[in-house]
Amino acid sequence: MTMRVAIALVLVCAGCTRVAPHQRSRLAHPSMTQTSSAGPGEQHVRAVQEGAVGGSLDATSGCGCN
Amino acid sequence: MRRAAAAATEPLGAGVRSPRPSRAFGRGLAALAAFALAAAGRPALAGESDRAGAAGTGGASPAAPPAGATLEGSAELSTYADTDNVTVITPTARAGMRDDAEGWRLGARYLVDVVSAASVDIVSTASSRWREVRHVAGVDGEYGPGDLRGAASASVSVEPDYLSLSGGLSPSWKIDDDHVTLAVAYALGHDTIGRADTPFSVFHRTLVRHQMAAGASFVLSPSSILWLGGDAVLERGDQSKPYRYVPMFDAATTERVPRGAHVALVNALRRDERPLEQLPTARDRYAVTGRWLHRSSWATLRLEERLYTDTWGQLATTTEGRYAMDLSERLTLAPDVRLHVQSAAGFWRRVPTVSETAAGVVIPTLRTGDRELGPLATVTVGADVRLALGPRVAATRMALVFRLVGIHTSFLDALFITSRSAVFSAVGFEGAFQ
Repeated sequence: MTMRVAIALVLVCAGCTRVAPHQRSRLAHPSMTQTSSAGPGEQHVRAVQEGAVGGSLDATSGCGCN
Repeated sequence: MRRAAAAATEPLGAGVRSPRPSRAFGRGLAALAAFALAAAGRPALAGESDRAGAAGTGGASPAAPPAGATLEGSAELSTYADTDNVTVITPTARAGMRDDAEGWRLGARYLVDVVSAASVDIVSTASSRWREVRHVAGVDGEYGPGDLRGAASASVSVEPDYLSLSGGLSPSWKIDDDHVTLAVAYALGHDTIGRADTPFSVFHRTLVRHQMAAGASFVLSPSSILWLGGDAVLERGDQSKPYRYVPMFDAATTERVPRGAHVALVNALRRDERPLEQLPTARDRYAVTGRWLHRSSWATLRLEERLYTDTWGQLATTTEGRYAMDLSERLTLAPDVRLHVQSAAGFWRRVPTVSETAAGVVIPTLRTGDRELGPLATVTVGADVRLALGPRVAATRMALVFRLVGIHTSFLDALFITSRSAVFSAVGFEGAFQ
């Protein structure tokens, strides 16, 4: 398993190009964030309505159902 | 009992820090220590933080980092209404301070959920409309003196019959000349599950969650970033809902109870026994996520795929796409689409049946009426509009954000209903004052 992950990382890195700091203006754009576009209310809706969620790393709550 | 929302409001234009470790180190350590002791908020992977687009991915701002600290604040009011007679109103407020030059950030948030429900589940038990208020508070922070960056957070969620505490740490490390950012995260959650109008000292169950995540972002080109990550959540405790009664049937009636069977039909065919829900007391969840972002001269494309499995036997796939277009210097339009498909848990039975033996009636050990543990497919289509109220680079920056989302869920093997449609809307304000 570890070997497979290492191979995958090597393959990904092999696909990367060297990007100098002065070439990174697009990468620094605010929309290039990894954060979800959904706000707290919308993410709560998803969490309540889909059983296959998890890993939000946040406090949970009751189900809002009966 | 559910997972709650994560709260991460993207701040106005984040510049990239140019840390001065000697000055910042003490303040950062103090900040992290305060969080470890107090804590709340969403401990997103440091590489996933709202700065990640620039810092976490090794990006660099074309502008010099702002001098001095910046105060940030945001507020959102969201509403949700669906065809199953559930409405939710959620006001949220967040405030914080950051210093990109010295590489630290502190924040706190508070939200309230006001839920009103008369869903078919409630109707089927002859109960009246139900209302509940949930309060969530949290703090979070980050500090990074160089290539190594740390984030911490903690949060508390309180409602009459549920208390949830959570805290976590998430360091990240930039390597390969900032082309790769490695990130890990751990959070511990402790939930106390009770019943309304009953003190926890009289009745409660405990649910403990260990949440772990690891991943890496890769700068693929001057305009593309790839994120690969995985997460695991180990849940221990009885999370069965103390209000949910599960109708039982004779095996001979199974064929007469179709998908989406009406409450009246279910009540006519079910047996007198109606036991409470009983779920397994351990659940291990695993997911892997791939996310690709590409920035053109005026728009950003974001594609994401998440694959999920757990020890209850559920499998799921979630696919998301978003295209954020800069229509002008101040106006951004971002439509998005999301598809979620999941299979049923292994113990899911649309028509749970009892067996009769010489010793009496035998009820299934594991039983649930939670249709979110059954097979379903959800399509979400939405868009948000972001209007900056001033120049993007200024000492005072403000923006209005509007979001409108339509959600349609098909329940592929459930009682009472076969589908649910919902509308979610939100209006928010963001401000940053340097």
